[in-house]
Amino acid sequence: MFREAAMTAVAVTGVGILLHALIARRPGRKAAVERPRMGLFVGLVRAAAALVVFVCMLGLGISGLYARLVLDAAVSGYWLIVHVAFGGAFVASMAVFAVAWAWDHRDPPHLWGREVAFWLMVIAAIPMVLAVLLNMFPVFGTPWQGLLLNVHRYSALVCAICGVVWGYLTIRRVKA
Amino acid sequence: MQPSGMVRTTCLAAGVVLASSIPALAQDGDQPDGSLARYVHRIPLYPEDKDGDKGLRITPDQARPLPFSVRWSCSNCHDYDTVRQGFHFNSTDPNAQPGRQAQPWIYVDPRLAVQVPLSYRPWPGVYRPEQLGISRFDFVRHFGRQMPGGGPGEAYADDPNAAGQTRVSGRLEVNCLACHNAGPGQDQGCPFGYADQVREGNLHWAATASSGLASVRGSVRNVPASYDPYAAVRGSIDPNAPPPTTWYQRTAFDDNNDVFLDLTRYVPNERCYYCHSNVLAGRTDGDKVLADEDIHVASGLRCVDCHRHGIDHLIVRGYPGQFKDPNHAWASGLTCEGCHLGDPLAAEPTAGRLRAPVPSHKGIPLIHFEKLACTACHSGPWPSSRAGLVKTSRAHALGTTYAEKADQALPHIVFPVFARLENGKIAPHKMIWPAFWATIQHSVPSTQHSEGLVMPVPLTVVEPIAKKLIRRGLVPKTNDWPPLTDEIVGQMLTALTKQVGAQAVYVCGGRMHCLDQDGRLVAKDHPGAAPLLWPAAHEVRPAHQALGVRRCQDCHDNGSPFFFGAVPVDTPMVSGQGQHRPMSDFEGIDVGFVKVFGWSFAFRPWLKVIGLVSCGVLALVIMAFAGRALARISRAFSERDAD
Repeated sequence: MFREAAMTAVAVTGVGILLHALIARRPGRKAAVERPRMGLFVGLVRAAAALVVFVCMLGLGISGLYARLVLDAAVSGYWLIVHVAFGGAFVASMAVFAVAWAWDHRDPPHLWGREVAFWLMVIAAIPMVLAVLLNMFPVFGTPWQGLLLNVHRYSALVCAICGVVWGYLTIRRVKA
Repeated sequence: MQPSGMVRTTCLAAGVVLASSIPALAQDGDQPDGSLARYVHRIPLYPEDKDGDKGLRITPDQARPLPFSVRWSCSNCHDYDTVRQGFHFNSTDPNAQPGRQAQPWIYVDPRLAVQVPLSYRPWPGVYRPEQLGISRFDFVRHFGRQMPGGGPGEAYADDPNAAGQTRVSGRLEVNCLACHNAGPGQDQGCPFGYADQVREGNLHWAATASSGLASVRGSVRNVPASYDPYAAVRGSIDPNAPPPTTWYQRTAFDDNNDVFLDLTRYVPNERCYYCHSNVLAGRTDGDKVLADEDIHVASGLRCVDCHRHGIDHLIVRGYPGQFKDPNHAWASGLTCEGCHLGDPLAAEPTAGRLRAPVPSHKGIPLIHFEKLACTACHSGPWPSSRAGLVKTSRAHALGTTYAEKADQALPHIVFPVFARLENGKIAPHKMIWPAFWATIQHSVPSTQHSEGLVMPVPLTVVEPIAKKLIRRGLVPKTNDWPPLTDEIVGQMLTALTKQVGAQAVYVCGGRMHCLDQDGRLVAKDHPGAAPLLWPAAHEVRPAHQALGVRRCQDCHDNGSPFFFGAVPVDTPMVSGQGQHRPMSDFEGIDVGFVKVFGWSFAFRPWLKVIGLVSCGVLALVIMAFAGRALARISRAFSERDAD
């Protein structure tokens, strides 16, 4: 089930972004000048947090989805170690990323998609992380573990897709 | 007609009517009426006559009674020919399904430096007895102590060359009493009991001697080949070497000359234990003190509560997929999962059969259930840094008068060894390192290896040579391996090569030893030298003693016995002793990965802390901006009201 959902979601997102890039108008100059003013250090932290989050997301996506989409099996072996290693870096950088970028998305959206993508990514990250962390404690039995695993998978899928959309829209905005 | 004569006539008529009704009742006992009560078996005993048919009823006043035949005594109500197709009796039937690898018979002779797995079932890695020159009769005499009859005990008589032996020894019929007699007098392993009779070759007498109804003394070894057990004794009998003779207890017969046998379908565990006991080496003296019973037995279950069967006696062995035919679909639930987890697709709840607790497995990631059998965590002894030895009834004749009591007595069965099952899951196994003298056949189409097929040299060829070169004094009194030097092995190989006319090899310790062109002893890898493993599922520990109950590092630690325990390489060769292989070799896993994964557990607490703190920060950010959004919405409503 997740395999099909993931493949569909990845395909739809890819096609959607491609179509949007081809069809949609670039944001006007007005949008470009609305960039917040900040110091060099803060700017670097923001950029670094976003970069680390997206590198980790890429690593997590490849290591997590390879087994499920290509092998149709649970993540195990070296893939699991890579996945957990990226996961550790992701959760730490995600907190910094959320704090550093949330103010940008405080107002009623003028770039509606980007705002929603950001907040959905931040919201989905919580069940995604908690689901795996709770599985590490002797709290939940087999049925709940299965449920938590599904929560992790689907929230990760939402988080990844929103992250890609947010990244695309942000790059587009920066270029404008 | 006199009144007494009328009574006699009436009784005779009634007898005729009853006797004529017996065929109609035949196999009636195989059709249960649903009663769970025990059927009282007060039955007549019948011997087998000289022609193999049903003999005259045994009575206590017979001067020289024959041993009773289980076949003819039980077949009044039970279908003997169906029963003998059961798993305990069908090993020689080429059409019988061998099923999953189980413990083979293990032929051991320290003087020949031999420890070789034998079976009539076509399991990989085992040899048929005839490959070692062991006839079916010799096989039965050697191992029949713990066979419930049938199989080779009956099939050996089909060999025309064994006609003389069959006439004297008779057949080892399926001994229903071995399992079903709940009476305290059932004697399988005590002096003059079943095992001793079989060992003597008194196959015809074995069931009678075990029943508690009669005593059997004497041996077919004492009689000439022309001896006829059905003929009257001629001349005097040597009291020191009598032929097999049966004495029935007069008190065992009632007024109707029937005997009471306490037979039950609910076979007592002790009957199973006679052939299926295990004891860890080192615990022999205090096994009752140091070792607990299997948790199922301790909870009140009988072996037969799980290992069920119908009249076909195709016993449920308890692993998934044993039966393919729809007639045995009922057996699919008699597995660990069947009782403890149930079938989620079943129309009605099936979990918790026989009061089986449904496990929650809190904190155990699901991947474990894909990689491990239930037994991996729950069965056998808690693994230690070095796998130990176990002794089993069938391998060490436990429970008989000639049991191997020494801890180091051959065969050396290593346990527990964690290895892969056919379904890819890891489970505890018992294992032996075969040791035998062999030749390599290149002409036989081999599935083993391009280097040829290992064919054991018959023991009759090995024995005279070994007895010259391996001195009796080399064999320890414990029946452990004699210490074989390379020189002795080299001499053995030279002599055997000369004797058999082909290059001889010695398989032991997982390697094949042979002489190179310069006459030097060399060791090679060969699939035919591989250790033989079979899954072990019993000695189940309670949940609170399962692997992983304390912490993940019960296994995921770079010193854990589960992955890195030492599995001793068992060999009589002095040059190969003291070696071991890591457990991971048998698990088919990447040692590098397991080490890295185990090492990663050092960071797991940090991961948990960082993850929880990050989630807290994310939640705060969301709450902060959600509060701000709510405030904005509220303000919007207020401003609208003001307008």
